[in-house]
Amino acid sequence: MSFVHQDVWHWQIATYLFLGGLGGATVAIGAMLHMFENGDKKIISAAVLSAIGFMVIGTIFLLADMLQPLKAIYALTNPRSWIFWGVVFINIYFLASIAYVIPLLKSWPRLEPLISKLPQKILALLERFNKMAALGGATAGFLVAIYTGLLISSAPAISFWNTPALPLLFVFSAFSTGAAFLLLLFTFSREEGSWAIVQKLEQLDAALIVTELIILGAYFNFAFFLPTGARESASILFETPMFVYGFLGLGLLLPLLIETYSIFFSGHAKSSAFLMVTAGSLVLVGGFLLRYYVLHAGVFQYPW
Amino acid sequence: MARYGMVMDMRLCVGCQACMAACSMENQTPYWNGKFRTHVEDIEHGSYPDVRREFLPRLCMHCENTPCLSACPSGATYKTEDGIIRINYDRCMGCYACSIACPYDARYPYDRNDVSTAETLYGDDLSHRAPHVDKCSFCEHRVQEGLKPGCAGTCPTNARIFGDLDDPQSEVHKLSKTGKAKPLRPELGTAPKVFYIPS
Amino acid sequence: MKKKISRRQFLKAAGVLGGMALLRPVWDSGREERAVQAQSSSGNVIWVPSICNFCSSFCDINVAVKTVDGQKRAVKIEGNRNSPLNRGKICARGQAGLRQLYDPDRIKEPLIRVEGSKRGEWNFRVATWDEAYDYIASRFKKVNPWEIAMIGGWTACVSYMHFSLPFVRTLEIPNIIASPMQHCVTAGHLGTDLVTGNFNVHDEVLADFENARYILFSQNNASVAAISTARAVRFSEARKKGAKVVCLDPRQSELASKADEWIAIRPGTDHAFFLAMIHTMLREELYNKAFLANHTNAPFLTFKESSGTRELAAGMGSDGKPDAYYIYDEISGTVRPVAAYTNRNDRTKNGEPVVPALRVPAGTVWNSKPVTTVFDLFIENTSSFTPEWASAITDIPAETIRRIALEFGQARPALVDPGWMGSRYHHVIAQRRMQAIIQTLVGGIDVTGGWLMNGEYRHKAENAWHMKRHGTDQAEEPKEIPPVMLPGMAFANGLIDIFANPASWSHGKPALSFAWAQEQQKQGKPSVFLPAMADTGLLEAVRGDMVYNGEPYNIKAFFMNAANPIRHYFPAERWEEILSSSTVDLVVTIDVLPSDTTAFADVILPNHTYLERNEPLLYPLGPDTNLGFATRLRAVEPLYNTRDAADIFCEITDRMGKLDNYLAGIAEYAGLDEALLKHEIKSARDAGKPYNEAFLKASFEALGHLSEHVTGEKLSGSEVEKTIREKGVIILKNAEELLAESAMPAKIPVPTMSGRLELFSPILASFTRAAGPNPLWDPVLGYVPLSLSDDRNKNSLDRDEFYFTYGKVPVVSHASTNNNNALLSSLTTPKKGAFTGLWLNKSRAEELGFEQGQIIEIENLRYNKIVRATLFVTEMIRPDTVFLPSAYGSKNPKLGIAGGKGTALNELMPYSIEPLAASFMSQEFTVRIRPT
Ligand SMILES: Nc1nc2c(c(=O)[nH]1)N[C@H]1C(S)=C(S)[C@@H](COP(=O)(O)OP(=O)(O)OC[C@H]3O[C@@H](n4cnc5c(=O)[nH]c(N)nc54)[C@H](O)[C@@H]3O)O[C@H]1N2
Ligand SMILES: Nc1nc2c(c(=O)[nH]1)N[C@H]1C(S)=C(S)[C@@H](COP(=O)(O)OP(=O)(O)OC[C@H]3O[C@@H](n4cnc5c(=O)[nH]c(N)nc54)[C@H](O)[C@@H]3O)O[C@H]1N2
Ligand code: SF4
Ligand code: SF4
Ligand code: SF4
Ligand code: SF4
Ligand code: SF4
Ligand SMILES: [Mo]
Repeated sequence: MSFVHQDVWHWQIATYLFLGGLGGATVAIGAMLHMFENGDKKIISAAVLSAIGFMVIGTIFLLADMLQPLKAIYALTNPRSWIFWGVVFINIYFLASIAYVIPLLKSWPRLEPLISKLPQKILALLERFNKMAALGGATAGFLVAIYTGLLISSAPAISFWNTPALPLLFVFSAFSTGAAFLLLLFTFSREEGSWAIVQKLEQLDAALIVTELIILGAYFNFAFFLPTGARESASILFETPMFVYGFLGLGLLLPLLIETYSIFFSGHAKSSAFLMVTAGSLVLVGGFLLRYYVLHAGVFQYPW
Repeated sequence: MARYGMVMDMRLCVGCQACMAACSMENQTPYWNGKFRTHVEDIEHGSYPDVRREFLPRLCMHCENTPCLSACPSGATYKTEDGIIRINYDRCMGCYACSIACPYDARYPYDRNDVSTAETLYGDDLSHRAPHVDKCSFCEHRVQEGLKPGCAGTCPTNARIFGDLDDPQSEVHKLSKTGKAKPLRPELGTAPKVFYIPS
Repeated sequence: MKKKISRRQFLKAAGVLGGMALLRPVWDSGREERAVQAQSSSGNVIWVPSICNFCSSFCDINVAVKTVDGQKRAVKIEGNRNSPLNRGKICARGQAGLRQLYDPDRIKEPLIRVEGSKRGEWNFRVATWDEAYDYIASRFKKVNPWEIAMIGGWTACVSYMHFSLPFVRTLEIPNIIASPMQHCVTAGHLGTDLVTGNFNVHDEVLADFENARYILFSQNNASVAAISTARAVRFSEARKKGAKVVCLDPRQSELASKADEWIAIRPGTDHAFFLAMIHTMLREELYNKAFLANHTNAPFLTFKESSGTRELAAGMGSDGKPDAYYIYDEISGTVRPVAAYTNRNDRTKNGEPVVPALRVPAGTVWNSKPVTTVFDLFIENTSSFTPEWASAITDIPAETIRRIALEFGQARPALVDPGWMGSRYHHVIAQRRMQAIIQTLVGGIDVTGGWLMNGEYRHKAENAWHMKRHGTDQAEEPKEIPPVMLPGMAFANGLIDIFANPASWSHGKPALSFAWAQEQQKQGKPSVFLPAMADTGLLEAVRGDMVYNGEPYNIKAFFMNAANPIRHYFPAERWEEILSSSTVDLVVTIDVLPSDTTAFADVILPNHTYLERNEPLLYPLGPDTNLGFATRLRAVEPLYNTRDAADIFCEITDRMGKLDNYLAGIAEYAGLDEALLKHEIKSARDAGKPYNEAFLKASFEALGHLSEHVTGEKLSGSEVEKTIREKGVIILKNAEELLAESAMPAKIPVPTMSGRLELFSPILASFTRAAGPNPLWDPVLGYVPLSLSDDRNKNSLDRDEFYFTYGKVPVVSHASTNNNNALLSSLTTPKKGAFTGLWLNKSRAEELGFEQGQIIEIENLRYNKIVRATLFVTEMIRPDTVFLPSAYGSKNPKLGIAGGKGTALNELMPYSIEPLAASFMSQEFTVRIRPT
């Protein structure tokens, strides 16, 4: 029996997983805020646009890591493969998010002339189905976020990954980063109601982080339980300061602390905006670190 | 239609690595970068004086339930009628999903760097020019000509036994059926077609 | 793609599809064809038969050749499936052969050292062949012929013996130093050959593993599992059939890992183990009585000389050789004479039936001297060699030794491998002799499941026996027969008759090694009995300190073929001094790679690699037991301005004005038709073609004649050639038939002095007569204790002191692969530790604070030499022993891959030889390891 570090996927893929999750969750949460909270359209459109941007960059990282990126078109061949579904989700995501965001862009006076150049018919259609597009984008975003976890959890010989806890963890982490990102953006909103949204996001993020911590606890408990590659991976992670202090400390606990403080003690005071920006940024960094180190700690368990 | 498989008789393998050399020459694998389709593990068990040295030759297990094939989005990884798991070099986009999915470390990237060295080494005889992920093909090209795979053909101790698992006359059938030869990590459910007789 | 499209025509679909895939990555969808899978050995290939050149296993191969880029290109090597020797298999080195052919570091043109530069510096200029030949001939003419030494490695020995011997004879050069002798086989083979009478190029024993029930190995690894393919294929059959395998080795080698019982014997003590085995087998009566009585000299009577030495009871003939030996007949109860040279003891000299007794009644006399049998002596002399005694020496429990002796004696057939590389300890000759005796005790010589003789050797022995009985019976010495045509020991004697004999040379100087031995003896200094092809006296002769019969005997020129003394002879510094000496006027090397030795040459002559040559002769199938032949046919045209060795020899003799004599010599030694050969050579010359094909043509004819002699069917030269081209091998008679007809000694005598297997060694007895008794040359058996230190009182190891052992790894062949082979080098990488590092036991490493992969210094405590190595910490070795893989440590930076890598073993070795045949005692010291 030997345990061998996977040497196949590196930081490029971690970046892809991170940006994919972030982009997916941002649209999902953003659309919800739009539909149910009537959030600042400017901010939401900015969020969706950046989310699309994240997804594009993430995809570029994925492609750049391939031997033959031009052949990526073949990726739609085998429906048994998670990447197949990833491609499907990402494409739907792109279509729906773009369709969804265009009408929203009108809230930016400077973009107005640009948008109005689009054929009226299309614009009208987009307006009409804006809710559906939002829903589609949100669903696709959610699926993309969960797919990133499913993709790597399907490796049978990397027992640390090969568990349903991983997609769960990734999806919660993705939503946490999405919430954090929106939180960041909303602190810049000049709209009236935005502050309430900031508070909601803060609560959401805190809840997500708590859930993430619970999943992590269960996850590591499981990993340490069996003498498999998973234990090897878990101990690698625990011996990695950047994981323990960086991800767990700065990426989860500190933002949670800040958010708790802000929820319970400062009463979401506007003056704590700086703290919120800090918390949000930390969550984002933490999200990346989590993926980076989980990939890094992937250990094959070979039978020799 | 056959169902090809291999039995590794670990009682016989002497760790001479002729199989690796043969495979590399046969299939033009980028040995210069240390990449091989087959490996021979040199394993030490126990402590002196109760120590046992064991050689474990390994290659693609041509799994019946094929995680690499499931993972491959492009269909580049496919199964032939004879149950051989192969890679269509023209389709492979090199996304490594298969490498991550393979529980037996059977795959490696044949990258641009390898191709350019291979071009100088083999000239117009180079058999694959596009980068792709590569692995053992069970030497299908030889098998179709009625030859043993390169590695099994040269193995000085006949530690590698190749044949049709469905043919009741074949040695591989007998060894795998009687349970004398067992697959690696059966609990993964991959149903490998490479079996091991322990030493 | 910068590929020329026109060349594409030559391609199989493989390249085309692959190439297009890159051009049209997206649109070329789904064009996966079977064709894309076409690989090296498939498609339009021609298979050319040849012989591997990476070790003396001499495996038969086929080379796949394709036309690529408009040129013939070798693309794959496989074992020849028609070959009974390697049965279609080859090892990693054999597989990687192409990488020698296409090694960019090859020597591509003749090189002459730039005037004013020093040897060793690598300062050469490109020369023409004519220039190089003239350079050599002019220097040869300046020195006396005896001042030249020819040095040959095993390639030179196995493939070119029939050229080298006539070469030195023609040019009156009495000196040949051959590496497969002192550095390798002499010790081991002399030991077994003293019993069996063998002695051949491949040594001639192929142990019949696959029919044995019990197999015992000592000091074996590369010779079987790591790897000699001819043996490995047979060994694996034995494993399959369930033979019990026992392996003595201080570490778990590849072979030991395949044993049922690995016995980590203390290094250098195997001799004691075998003595105890004999002790036990004799006492438990676990021997084949009938075989011993009938086919060995066990029943021969012996007596004690007044000097105390033992002699065989023998009648002396008029020629000073025995004309009868005496046995005690159990039927008549009398002492009776048996023939001096035959294979059996059941008839007297005059043909009356007798039953020779293994033990004689007390009081039996011969010539009024009390006598005992040889067998009695063995019983008597082994009395103290108990398993308990051996246990203390070998560190193996006495019960284990006893059990193995019992198991071995009871299993039928049982086999102790004869061993191969023996130049390690003083005792190896004695030890290997004991192994042959054990094999004889169980009757396992030339029988199924025992030691089988190779086809060509048996053929020679048959011929010699035939000649002895018919025609040349009138005591006429078969003088016209060149020694290479004599079997076994007779061949050795024939060579000694030439090289040790001043009268064989017009200048009256025998080989330097024999001259040195005589001089040493005269001065009462340690000498060597049989320094055949040894380097003794060489350094003295180069320094100008060697005097023979009052005249200086200097060495001033070296002519080396396929030899790499700087790296693979012992020790390095001795050869550095010799080859850089200013008294040496000429150093020529014939090589394919810039070995460390070529750096010390004045002229480097580049040889074709084996895949580029038509070998000039047909060769027996290595150690195979069939009577068959093979050769190398040119797979590809020579890539560079290189030549064949046969041509080089001819050109030089030609420039020395002696080509005609040389050709006559080759014809005689190789059994070719002289007129035909000369005719063919003349045609080649007129056509401006190389000579070697002329030789090969004459060889094909000669084999056609041999076929008539053996099978009654004459073949024409072209028929022989056709078979060789098609099958790669031609088999005249198969092994079973040969064994049935002429088993040795069951059917015909072995080439010992008496024709029987000799438990009592007349050769060792003659040494005893000459130099007094010594356990090293005790004709019965003597124990030679291990001595690792000059300090006699020291018999335990210090805390950081270790026994030193070394050996070969499966992916390297001495210097021939030099590990400059890119493929073999890659195969080494994942096993760098075990294949290149110094093996050290883990608990000892912990105790001494050493770590895996640490670079350390190895200090030879007896000879004060130091080398560096990387540690391989493992459980697989005795705690008191370290092991260093050999064949690394090349220094020549021209070797792009091998240069500067690993440890040069011969920098740790002493110049220490034993007195029988000057074999090296390359492990007789201990080492200390310490951090750097
Ligand atoms: N350090 C160390 N020294 C050893 C040994 C060891 O284990 N360790 N082993 C000893 C033993 S067992 C033996 S048999 C000897 C063997 O020693 P050698 O018989 O000398 O064998 P190699 O070193 O393989 O080859 C000698 C030279 O021949 C060249 N050569 C290879 N192919 C050809 C060819 O086709 N033509 C020509 N002209 N040259 C060629 C090689 O490049 C090399 O420089 O070494 C002995 N020396
Ligand atoms: N790979 C490879 N194979 C070859 C060759 C080659 O160059 N490379 N060359 C061929 C030639 S020329 C030769 S001579 C043969 C040599 O083949 P072998 O004679 O088998 O020689 P080695 O493998 O070098 O050493 C054999 C074993 O002896 C062990 N040993 C050392 N000292 C002692 C001791 O005191 N007692 C015991 N019992 N064991 C000891 C070592 O650990 C080692 O495992 O190999 C042939 N095969
Ligand atoms: S060729 Fe055969 S014996 Fe040698 S390492 Fe490979 S499987 Fe083992
Ligand atoms: S061993 Fe790996 S590459 Fe081969 S079929 Fe199984 S999963 Fe696929
Ligand atoms: S690397 Fe190639 S073979 Fe592997 S999954 Fe990706 S496309 Fe399929
Ligand atoms: S079957 Fe062919 S491709 Fe597979 S390891 Fe053996 S030689 Fe290589
Ligand atoms: S054993 Fe290997 S190196 Fe030696 S002759 Fe055979 S194939 Fe060549
Ligand atoms: Mo040797």
